[in-house]
Amino acid sequence: MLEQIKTKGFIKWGLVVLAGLILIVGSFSLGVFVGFKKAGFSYSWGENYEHNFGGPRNGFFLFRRMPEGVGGDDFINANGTVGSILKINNNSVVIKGNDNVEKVINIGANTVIRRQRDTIKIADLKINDLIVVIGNPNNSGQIDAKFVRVFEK
Amino acid sequence: MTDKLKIAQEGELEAKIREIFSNLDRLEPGEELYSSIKKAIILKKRIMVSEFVAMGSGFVVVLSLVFYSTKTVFEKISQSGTIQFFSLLFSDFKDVLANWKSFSLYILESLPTSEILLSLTGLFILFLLSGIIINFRENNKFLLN
Repeated sequence: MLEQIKTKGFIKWGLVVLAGLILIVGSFSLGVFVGFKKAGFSYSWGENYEHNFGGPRNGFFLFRRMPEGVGGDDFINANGTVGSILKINNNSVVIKGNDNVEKVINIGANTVIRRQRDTIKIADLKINDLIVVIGNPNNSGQIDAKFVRVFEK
Repeated sequence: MTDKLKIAQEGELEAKIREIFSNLDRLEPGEELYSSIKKAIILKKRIMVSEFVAMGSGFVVVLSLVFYSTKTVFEKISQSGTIQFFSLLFSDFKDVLANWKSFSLYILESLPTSEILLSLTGLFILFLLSGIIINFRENNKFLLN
């Protein structure tokens, strides 16, 4: 047995197997982490829908509205979004994402908003502007924006 | 020295055997045996052609599935806004770097993992089938031609 372990082939295959296991378990852990974040944000979004957007989640007059992500995926991306502006408030904007889901984007004092090469303020944003947001989700189903890029249509 | 002697002796033996067999008439099998051999070869050839056609059809089916799943992957990526996100790497690299965690997480969240997995599995099967078909053809050239 000891002689077998000492051979180069055994060590080589041992390393290959270990590397494969690390890759598989690592990928699985990453998937669980990302999925947990996404599910958590989707849950917060759903729970705070009335508070954020007004009206019941399933819509008025029995029109059922369920959040539908891209391709039928029921979870919403939590760390950013791409969409067009529906409404502008003092410190936040409501956008309709590419996944047809409304999201509230909080614009803080440290949020950088760029249009072409200029840094602009929230007051310079317009309805129907296409924006890309990088940020972090909060517990109210909103995204605290760190960076916003306005695309010219 | 011993090896050279051995080789020389083998060469002599081969030459003698060739001489003996060159004087013998070519042996022909009996009619029944000949017919059975011929039928077996034809049957084997038919089976091999069928196997080859089946593998080829499987290849075409898998290829179309891979094409469809890859097309779906690109469609989903373009719908999800990932392309606009990636474009930030060129327009706002410093800001992306400053928020690299959120950027990376968004990319990971928006990946259509099931479709990518399907595509990669299909490609894997394609490669496997290609190897099998090439190997099959190489080993059975004389029957398939």
